[in-house]
Amino acid sequence: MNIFASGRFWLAGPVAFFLSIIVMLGMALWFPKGHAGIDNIVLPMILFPLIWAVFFFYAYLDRNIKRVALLFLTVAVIHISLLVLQFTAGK
Amino acid sequence: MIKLGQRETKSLVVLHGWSAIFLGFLLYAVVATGTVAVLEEEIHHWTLGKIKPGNPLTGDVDKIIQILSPQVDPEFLEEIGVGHSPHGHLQLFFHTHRKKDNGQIEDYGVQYEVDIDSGEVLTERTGTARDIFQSEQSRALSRFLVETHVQLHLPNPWGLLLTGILGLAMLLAAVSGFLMHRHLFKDIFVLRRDRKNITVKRDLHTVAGTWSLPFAFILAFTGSFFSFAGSFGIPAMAMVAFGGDQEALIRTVIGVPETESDEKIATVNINTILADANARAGQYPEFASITHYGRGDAKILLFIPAAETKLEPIQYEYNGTSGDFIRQKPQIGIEPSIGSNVFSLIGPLHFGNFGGLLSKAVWVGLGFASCYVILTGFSLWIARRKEEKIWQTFERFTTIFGIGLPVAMLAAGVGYFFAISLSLKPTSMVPWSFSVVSVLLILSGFVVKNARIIKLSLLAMNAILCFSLPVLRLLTGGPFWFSAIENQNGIVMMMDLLLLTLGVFCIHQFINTARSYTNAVCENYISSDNASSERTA
Repeated sequence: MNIFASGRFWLAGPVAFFLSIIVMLGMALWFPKGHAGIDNIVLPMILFPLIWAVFFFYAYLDRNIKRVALLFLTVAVIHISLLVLQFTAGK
Repeated sequence: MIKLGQRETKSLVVLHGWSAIFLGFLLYAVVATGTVAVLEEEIHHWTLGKIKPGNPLTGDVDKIIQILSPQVDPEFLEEIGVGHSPHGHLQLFFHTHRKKDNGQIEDYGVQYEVDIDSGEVLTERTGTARDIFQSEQSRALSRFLVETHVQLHLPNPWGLLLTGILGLAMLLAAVSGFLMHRHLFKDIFVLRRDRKNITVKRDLHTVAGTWSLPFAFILAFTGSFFSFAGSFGIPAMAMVAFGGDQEALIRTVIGVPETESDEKIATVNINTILADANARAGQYPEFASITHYGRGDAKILLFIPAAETKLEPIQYEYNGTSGDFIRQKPQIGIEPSIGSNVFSLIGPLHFGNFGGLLSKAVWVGLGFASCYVILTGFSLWIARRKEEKIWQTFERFTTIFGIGLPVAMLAAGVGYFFAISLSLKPTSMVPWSFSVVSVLLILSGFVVKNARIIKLSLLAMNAILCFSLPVLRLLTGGPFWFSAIENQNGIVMMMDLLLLTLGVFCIHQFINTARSYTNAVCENYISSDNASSERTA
C-alpha cells in the first residue's frame, strides 16, 4: 500500500501524535481524580506512550482509511471541546 | 499469538525496517548511553575513588544547621536541603524559590559541604541548584553520559522531545516486531548456524530481539514518559487542570501546605526527627528537606531510599515546630493513590535500581542485548542490499557508529583522568574528548573504505581504552583495590573488573573478526588463483 498517497502517513504520523497529546490533556478533565486528587493528572501522562501506540497502529493497519480519519476526528472534537469549555467556563 | 493478514504483516516488516533506518542511529546512541547510565552512581564512585564512609545524617546535623543558618541570607531559609556530598560529607543547600524569565521556578541559594565530625566547612558555593550541580567536577563523567542519554546534549525542551520520540520509535519497533512474528515462542530458540549468512543474521536478530522484547517495551514506555512529562507534559497538564498555575500543581502533587505562618518559632531538633525516622523505617534518611526553618509553619520531609526488596522509597512528613510525625507521604500527593503507586514503579523499572547491584547488572545486560538487536537489525538490512553502493557506505558508518560510540565514551573517561592529572576542568575535558574522538572516527569513515578494517581498528581501540582506564585511575591518585574496599568503596574494584572483562571481550571479538577476514581473503585468493590456472590450461 502507498502510505503517502492514501494519507495514512499523515494520520499515523503527525496526526496520531498530536491527537495523543490532545487526548492526554483532555483526560485531565474526565479521568477520575481518585482519592488523592492526582490520578487525572498523573495517569494520563504515564499512559501517553500507550495512547500514541494505539492510535499509531490503528491508523497504520486499518484498511479503511476513511474510518480512521472519522474516528480520529470524533476523538479530537470531543477532547478539544472539553478543553475549550474548561478555559472559557470561568470567563 | 495475534494473527495478522499477509498484507498487514508485510506492512509491519516495512515499518519495522524503515523506522529503524531513519531513527536507529539516534536510538542506538540513547540505548547505549542509557546502558552505561544505569551505572551512574557506580561510575561516579569509581572516578572519585576516595569517599568518606557512612551516612553523615547520623551525625549532629542540628548543630551544623544552627551554626550556619544565622550566616545565610534569611531568604534562603525558605528551604534547606540536607544530604550528602559526592565525597560523603554533609551537604546543605539553603535556598529560596525564584521565578525565571520564562515563568519556571528555580532554586537559588548557598550550598555548604561540611565535615560532620569536625564541623569544618569544606566548600561554599552560591548559585542556582542547576549551576551548582553542573559545576561539580567529580560528577563530570557520569553526568555527561547521563545527559547524552536523557537529551543528547540538545537544549531544553528539544533534547527531551527528541529522546521522547526515540522512545516512541523503540515502542514502535518492539510492538511491530512482536506483531509480525508468527512463531514468536518457537523463534526464541532458533539459531541455524549452518545456513546462509542472511539466515544466520536474521536468527541472531530475532532471538536477541525476542528475549529482550519485554525489556525493550518497558524501557521505551517508561523512557518516553520521562521525556515527554519533563518537556511538556507537566506544564501542559498544569495549564489544563490548574489554569497554568504550576505552584497549585506542586501543592497538589507534592503536598506543600497552603497555610502560612510568619511567626518566629524555633524549629525542632532535627537530630531527634532523624532518629525517629530511623526507629520507624529501620534505617536513617539519606535526604531531608526543611521548609520555612525557624517559622511557625516549618515542615520536615525525610527521604529514605527503598529497601533492596521494595520498589517505593519512604517519605516521612513531620511538623517542624512540634516535631510531631504527620504522615508517611506517597511519592506524589498527600494521600495514597493509584497514580502515585503506578508512578512509583516507573522510575525503578527504567533505572533498574530496585534490587541493588543485581538488578542493575540485569538491566546493563539487557541494555547490551538491546544494542545488539539494533546493530544486528542494521546488519540484516545491509546484508539484503549489499550489492548497492549506498548500503556499502551505510555499512561502514554503521560499524563506526556501533563500535565507535563505546570508543568515544571510553575516551570521555580518559579525558576525565587527564583533566584530573593536569589540573584542568573535567566538565570541559570530558565533552571535549568525546567530541574530538567522535569527529575523528566519523572522518575515518570517509578515508578507510573497508568496513572490516574499521571494525578491527575500533575493537582494538576499545580493548586498549578498557585496559588503560583502571591504570589511569591509579596514576591520577585513585586508590588500590584493598584501600578502596577498606573505605567501603568496593565499586572501584567492580568497575575496574568490568572494564578489564570488556577489554578481554573486545580482544576475543578482534581475533574472531581477524580470523574470518583472513579466511575470506584466502578463499578469494585461492578461487582467483584456480580461475587463472584454468585459463592458462
